[in-house]
Amino acid sequence: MSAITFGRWGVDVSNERGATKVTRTGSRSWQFDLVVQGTTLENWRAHARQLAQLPECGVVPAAWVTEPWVDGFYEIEGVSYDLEPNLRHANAFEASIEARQVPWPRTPLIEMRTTGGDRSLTPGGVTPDPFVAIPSSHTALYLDTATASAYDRTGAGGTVRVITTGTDYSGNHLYHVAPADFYDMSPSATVDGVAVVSFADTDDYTAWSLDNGLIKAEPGTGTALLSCTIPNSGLTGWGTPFAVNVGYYDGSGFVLMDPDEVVGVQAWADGGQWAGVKILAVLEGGLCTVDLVMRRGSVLCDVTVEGKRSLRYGLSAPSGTWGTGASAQIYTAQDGHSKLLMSEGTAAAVDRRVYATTATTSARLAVGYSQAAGSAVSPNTLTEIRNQFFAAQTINERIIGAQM
Amino acid sequence: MSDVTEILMDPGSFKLQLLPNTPESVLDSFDQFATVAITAGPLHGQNADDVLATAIYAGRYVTYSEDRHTIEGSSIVTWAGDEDGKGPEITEVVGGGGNVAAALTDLFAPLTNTNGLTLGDTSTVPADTVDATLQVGETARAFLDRLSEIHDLQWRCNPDFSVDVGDRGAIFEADPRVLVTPDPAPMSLAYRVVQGDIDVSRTEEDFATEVRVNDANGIYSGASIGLVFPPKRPDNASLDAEIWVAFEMEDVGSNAACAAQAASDILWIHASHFEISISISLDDPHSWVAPGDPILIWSPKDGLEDTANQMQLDGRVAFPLELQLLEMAWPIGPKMGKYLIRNTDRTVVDLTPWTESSTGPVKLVVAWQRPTIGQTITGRRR
Repeated sequence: MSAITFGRWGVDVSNERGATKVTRTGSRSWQFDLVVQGTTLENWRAHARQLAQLPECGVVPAAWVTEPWVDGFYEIEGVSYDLEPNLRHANAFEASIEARQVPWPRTPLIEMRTTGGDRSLTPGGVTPDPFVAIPSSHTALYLDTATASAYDRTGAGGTVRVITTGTDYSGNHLYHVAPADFYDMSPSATVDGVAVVSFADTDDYTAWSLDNGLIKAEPGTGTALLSCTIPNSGLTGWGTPFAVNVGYYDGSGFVLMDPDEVVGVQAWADGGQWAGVKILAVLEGGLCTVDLVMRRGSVLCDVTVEGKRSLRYGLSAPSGTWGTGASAQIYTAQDGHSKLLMSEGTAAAVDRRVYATTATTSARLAVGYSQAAGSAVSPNTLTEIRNQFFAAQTINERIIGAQM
Repeated sequence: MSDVTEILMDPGSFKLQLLPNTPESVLDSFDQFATVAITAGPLHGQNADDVLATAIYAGRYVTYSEDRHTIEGSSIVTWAGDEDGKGPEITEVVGGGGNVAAALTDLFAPLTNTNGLTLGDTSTVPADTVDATLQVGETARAFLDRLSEIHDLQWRCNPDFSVDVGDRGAIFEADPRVLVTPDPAPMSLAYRVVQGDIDVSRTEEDFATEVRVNDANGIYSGASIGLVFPPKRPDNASLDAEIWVAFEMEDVGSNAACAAQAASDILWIHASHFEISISISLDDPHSWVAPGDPILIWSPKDGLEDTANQMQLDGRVAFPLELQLLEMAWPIGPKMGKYLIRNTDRTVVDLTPWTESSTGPVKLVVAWQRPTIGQTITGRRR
C-alpha cells in the first residue's frame, strides 16, 4: 500500500526508510524529496521508469495518507532520481518531484467529454447502451444527457458507479472527487509489478497485468494467450483464473496464437478511464496485434485483433462446458460460471469458440462475464452486457479550473 | 535549409541551398528557368525524361541569391501561368460551345498553350457543357483553375509535366494512409500513425449568407445563391442574419453559369475558413501523403472528430476526421536525389553532392470551409 501517490505512481513512505523532505519553491510550487524503497533492484528500476513519465501526464491527483494537506491536483514539472543506491538501505534510492498545485479549488471538477456511436457492426435487434463510470465516492455529478439508469458494480477494490445515458453518446459531464479517490476502481496496467503511468513496454510476455477491479487479465500459460479472473465474490467461479485463447478459424480448426509467438508488449494508461495492453505477435507468418483494453465500470476486457492478413479472428476457451448465447444475435459462449466470449458483427459461436464468419483484417472481441442465467439481476444480465459492448465510445477527461 | 512547399492546385515554392564548395561548373550549368527535380533516392546516369518520371517533385528555377548558392522557384505548373498571371498566349478557340473534356483537350492540344505541359489523366472529367469561356489575356492555368472551380474538379501537376484533371478521389489517393493524433502515437497495422502538434483556427471574415452575381456594368444578373442554414440575427433567434456579397463577372454567360459560380463561391470563398496546421515528423513524407490526398486527424480535445467515421485504434474506438491535405512543406532530406535539368540541352546535372540537405518536421495544412464542420467544432451540443 502506497502512502504517497502522484498520478498512478505511488510509493510507500510510511516506514522509517521513507524519509521525506518537502520544500516550498513558489507560491503554489513544491518539491518532494523522497526515498523510494523497492522490493528488488528490478522493482526499483520499474519504479524509476514510471516516475520519469509523470511529467507527460498533465495534471494528476496527488495524495498523502499521513499529510493530507498535500492532497490536490498537481502538474508535475520535473522529476529526477539518483541512480546511486542509498547506502543505508538495500534497493532504496532518492527521488525528487517538482510539482505545481492547481490554484483553486484544490479538488476541481473533472470533465468527461464523451463521443461515440453505435458500433458499426451492430447486429439488428441490438440496442447499444452507452454509459459513463465514475468513482462511487464522488461528491458531485452533473450530467448533461438524460440518465437512463445508474447503479453500482461491485468488484475487488470496492464499487464503481455506472450511469447509462440511454441513446446519448455525446456530452460534457462533470464530477467532483477527492484526489485520493480519483483512481478508485480505475483500470490499471502494470509492468514488472509497477502501475503504468502513461506508457511502458517489455519484451517479457509474463511481466504484465491489466485490471479494472471488475475483471483482471494476465498472461496465459501453455497455448493460452490470456488468463482472466472475475474478482466479484458474488458470482460462481469467482477468483479462479480461466484461460482464453486468441487465434483464428481456418475452416476446420482453430489456430492459436500462443505466448511463444509474442514479440513485445506495450502497456498504457490514460486518465482514470482507460488502460490497455498491446501485444505484438507473429501469427502464421503475419504480423498481428492484440489490443486488450479495459474501461472503468465495464465487466468486459475488449480484445481487438488486427492483422496484416485477412483471417477469421476469434477467441476460444480451452476447457469447460460452454454453450451458445441466449439468442442468435448474442455471440457468446456461456457456462454455469457466467463467463462469456463475444464478437461483433457476424460471428459463429460453436465448440467454446467465437470467431468471425468472414475473413477480415481486424476483429473486435471481448472476454467478460454476466450473471448466470436464472440468477441474473439487472444490470448484469447477458443482454445488458452485450448492449454495452455494442456502444462505441471515447471519453476524454480533463481537470476544469486547472489553469496553471 | 532546403525545402519544398507544395500546395494543392497552386505553384507553391522550393528552395535549394547549395554548399559553399559547389564547383563553378555546376553553378554555371543553371540556365534560365531550368527544372529542379527531387527524387526519393539517388539515381545514376538517367536522362531527363527518366529523372522526371521517377521524381517526387519538379520545380522551375526563378531566383538565385547568395552568390548563386540559394536557388529558389516554384512548381513547374508556372509554365502554364505564373503567380503574376504571366504565361503563354492562348490563340486557339477553347471550349467554344463544347463540353468540359473537349475544352481541356483544346487547352492542352497545342503545347504552345502550356509551354510543354501535357494533359494527363482526365478519365473522370464529366461531359457536362462547359460553363466558362476563355477570357482575353487569361493564362492556361487561370482558365484551368476557373474551369475546375465551376465544375467542382481538381487538378494536379505531376513532375513529368503531365497535368491530371478530374474528381478528387480519382486523381489523388482515394483512401487515407496517414493518421495524425496529438497523443503519443498508437501503433496500427492499417495506417501510418504519427504524433503531431495540431493548431486549429477558424475565421468568419469572408462569410456570406448570399452571393449575388452582377454583370460587368454592375447590374444584377438575376443569379444568386443563399445558404440553406444561415446564422441567426443577434436580436432575434428566429430570424436569419443577412450578409450578402455581390461580385462582378465579365463572363456572365447564362444565369445557370452565374448560379454555378455563386454556388461554388458560397461554399468555398464565402464560407467559414477553417484551418488546421499540423507539424509532424515523417521521413520520406511523399511516399505516404501529398497535397490533395486525404489524411485522418483524431484529436477530440480540439473537436476534430467525425462520429460517422468509426475505426479501431489501439483497441479503442476512434472517430477521426478525414480531410484533404492542402499544403505540405517538407525538408529536402539527405537521402533524396537532387537534379538540375537544363532547358538549353536537356542535360541532367547531379546536384546531390552539392546540396545542403535538411531534416526537420513536415508541416501540413488542411482546411475545411463548409459550415457543417464549423458547427462540429464550436456548436457542440450541450
